[in-house]
Amino acid sequence: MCESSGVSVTDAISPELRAGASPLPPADYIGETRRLYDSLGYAGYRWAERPETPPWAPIAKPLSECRITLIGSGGLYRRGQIAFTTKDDTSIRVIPSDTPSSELRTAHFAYDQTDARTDPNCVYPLDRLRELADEGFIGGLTPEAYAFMGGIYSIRRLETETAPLLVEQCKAQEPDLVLLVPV
Amino acid sequence: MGFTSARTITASANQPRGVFVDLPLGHTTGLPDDPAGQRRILTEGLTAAAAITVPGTIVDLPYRYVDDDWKANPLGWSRKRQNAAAAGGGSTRESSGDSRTPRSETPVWQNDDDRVAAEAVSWDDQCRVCIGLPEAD
Repeated sequence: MCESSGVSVTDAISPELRAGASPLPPADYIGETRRLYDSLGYAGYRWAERPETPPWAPIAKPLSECRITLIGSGGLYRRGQIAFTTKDDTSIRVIPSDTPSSELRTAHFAYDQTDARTDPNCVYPLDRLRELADEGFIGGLTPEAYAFMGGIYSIRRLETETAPLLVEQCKAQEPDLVLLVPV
Repeated sequence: MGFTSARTITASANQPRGVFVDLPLGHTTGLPDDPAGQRRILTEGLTAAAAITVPGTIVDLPYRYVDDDWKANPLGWSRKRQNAAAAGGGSTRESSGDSRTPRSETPVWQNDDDRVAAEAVSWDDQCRVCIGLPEAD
């Protein structure tokens, strides 16, 4: 039992969530976007392709000792902050890790935000991570988490504007682990 | 490490440690008001990702959406259509087309009073939490 959250591993999950793998392959968003752009007469989008082996940093501690920094790309902002624009907004938002989910908002153009606005944990699981920290499953959260609006069409601008901001902010938090939750 | 519900995009970008959650976009770490399901996805995903030893590996979590109809048009999934289908109002499938919101160069507030709340904060204070904004006019 998990007294701090009131959620037990034996609690029923949503009837919309089924255990077991889907018999169908994962949705092919690259192919779907290509077909959509073709139908609209747009030029093909060039997705990031990184065939080389990605950089690797060993995780030096067990999860129960890891301090985690959360980064989400679902367009989250905190009430009182400036909402994202939906046209190549490369800025980031600092979300204090103790922010109640009732204070979180979303601004994005490329996914249905209905559920994220009902429960931000769908795309920015601060409540769940705080509970897991209280229970000792993870070591804790860094004081700050971060968010941005991931619908940035220019990979160059993402790499030269948004990513360096996130790296600089994250390093100052001295996390053991960074958890990315894209949409 | 990163969770994803867009496996092909994540595989192409090739991050060090990935966790695939086979749910419609907007549910990378679970479904709304489902703390037990979100918790399973997070705990099982974090554990599996931490155990990855080969860079670029994506672990597939053994969860899926209640039906697979949405995969016929994954860019068109919406809660409104899902609710209508659940109420017997038709299929969750929809013909292709651009269902995305038009893009805007002005902030898109979730609620209008969010704008009022933000305007009550000084620009200097905003710049500490909204980093990388274009210069104010």
